[in-house]
Amino acid sequence: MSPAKGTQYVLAALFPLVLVAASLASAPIPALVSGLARILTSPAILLSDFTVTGGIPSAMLNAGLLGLLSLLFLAFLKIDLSGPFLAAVFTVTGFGFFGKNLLNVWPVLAGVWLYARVQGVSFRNYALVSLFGTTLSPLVSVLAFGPWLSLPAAVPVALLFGLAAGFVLPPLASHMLRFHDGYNIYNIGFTGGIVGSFLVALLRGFGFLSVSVPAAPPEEDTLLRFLVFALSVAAVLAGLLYRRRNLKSLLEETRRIYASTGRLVSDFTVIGSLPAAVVNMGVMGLVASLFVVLLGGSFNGPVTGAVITVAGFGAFGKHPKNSLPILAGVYLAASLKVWETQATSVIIAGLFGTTLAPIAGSFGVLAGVLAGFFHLSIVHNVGVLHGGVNLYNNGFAGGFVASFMVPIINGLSKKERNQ
Amino acid sequence: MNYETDKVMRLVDEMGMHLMRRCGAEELDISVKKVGSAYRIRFETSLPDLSPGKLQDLKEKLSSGRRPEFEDYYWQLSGDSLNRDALSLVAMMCDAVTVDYREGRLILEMTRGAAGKKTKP
Repeated sequence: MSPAKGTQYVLAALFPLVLVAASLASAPIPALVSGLARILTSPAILLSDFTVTGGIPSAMLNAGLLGLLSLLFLAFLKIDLSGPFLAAVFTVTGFGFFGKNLLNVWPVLAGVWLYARVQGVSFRNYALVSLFGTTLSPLVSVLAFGPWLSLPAAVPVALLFGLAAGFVLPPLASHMLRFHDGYNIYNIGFTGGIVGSFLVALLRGFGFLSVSVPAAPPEEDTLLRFLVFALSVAAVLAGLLYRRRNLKSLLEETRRIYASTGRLVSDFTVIGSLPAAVVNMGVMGLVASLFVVLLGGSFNGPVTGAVITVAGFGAFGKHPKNSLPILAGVYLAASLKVWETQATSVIIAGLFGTTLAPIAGSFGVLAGVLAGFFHLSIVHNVGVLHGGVNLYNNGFAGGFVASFMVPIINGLSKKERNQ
Repeated sequence: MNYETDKVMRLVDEMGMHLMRRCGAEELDISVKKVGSAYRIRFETSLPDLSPGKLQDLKEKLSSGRRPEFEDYYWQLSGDSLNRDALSLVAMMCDAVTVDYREGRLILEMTRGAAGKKTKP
């Protein structure tokens, strides 16, 4: 039996609360507020690092508060915390370190709400699309606080485009699933890339100017490193403790999770159980953290956010069996190609490249390694289309990789069957 | 446009493909009836070799209940079960699913009410 709904929410709130507490303990309030103000008024496009923009304490505060707001949002809509929603909450929290802030998420959310109203459908039906749809939050920030327009004109334009982006997301997100057929877990990332590319192309025609944002590691990342390791270990222990009287069941539930391909819609709280999914979240957090350490990366804003996001998807599609081949493929590609293995862009390509885990899960290790190998190149070439306003750039790239590989693999499989 | 008919036919497609591809059914009787604002979909097939384990697996996977918070987003994935066990998609789009297996014949009945309106079987 899984915990009651209230208990689920309390447990899910622990990590964002820890982030908020850690931020309050790390810096005085005036410093936190001024750092947060810099975060809220930054253009926020990829790969903005909020630990650099506002400092680590303010970035943690932003991320923690975003996580708590997401949970409040879901609680208000009376939604059970199943795998997809756990992934969504952790994704919003993780991206609170790079790209999403307490200001820029609202226009996109409002746009989705408006769509639900126009359709005469409960907003509850689009809660998942709303949360993941905040991938386009930087569109609001770069228009409001970028160099293109002066502030009086910039703010209404930013609000309008944020609303428009949110409004078109629900029908497009559903339709885009057919493009990759569920083999790309970050479907909203792919959809966001399409929407972002479309809107930015439109804006460029009117002279829209973006900004370049160099990512830089913070001077000291020990706190963030400790937090993500602690989150992961805590999740494993929480699941084991909850099931301590019936570890045999937990093992069987974990076996079912690991046997899953991860293709959409793989809700591990249903395929296994909530405790088994939480244990897997912890395991995925550890796998992701070890990947960063092995490649010599630092736990800056984007990398920390990526580890938290991957941990969240340990409840929705990702497990070590289908994710490790992707990580291996990205590492192999980085070793052979022009990028350095410890570069932030390579590390997050590996971590977020696990959006293609269903390819490994469905077609085997070699297919997964190949997917990771392709992914590193594709992700470095698609960001220019949307100009960095789509935070889930790896989801955007993943859609292309999946839609390229899967028909070829399926076609070859049919040939083997016909022979 | 709420795509209600499309969703019902996707359910028929998905469940039919599952019974033929994964359960080995060689004949299927399918009926779709609109009762008020709800749809009742019935499958009947001969599966004399259906193991107790597979039957239990079928019942479990179809028991999760309707999940409107996912349906409007993920329904477009249904209708193609190549390389995928998509019973989770079927379950999340139905108010109720009953599975009956007697003397080698499997009878599956799915009930789906109009969007936002739950229907009892």
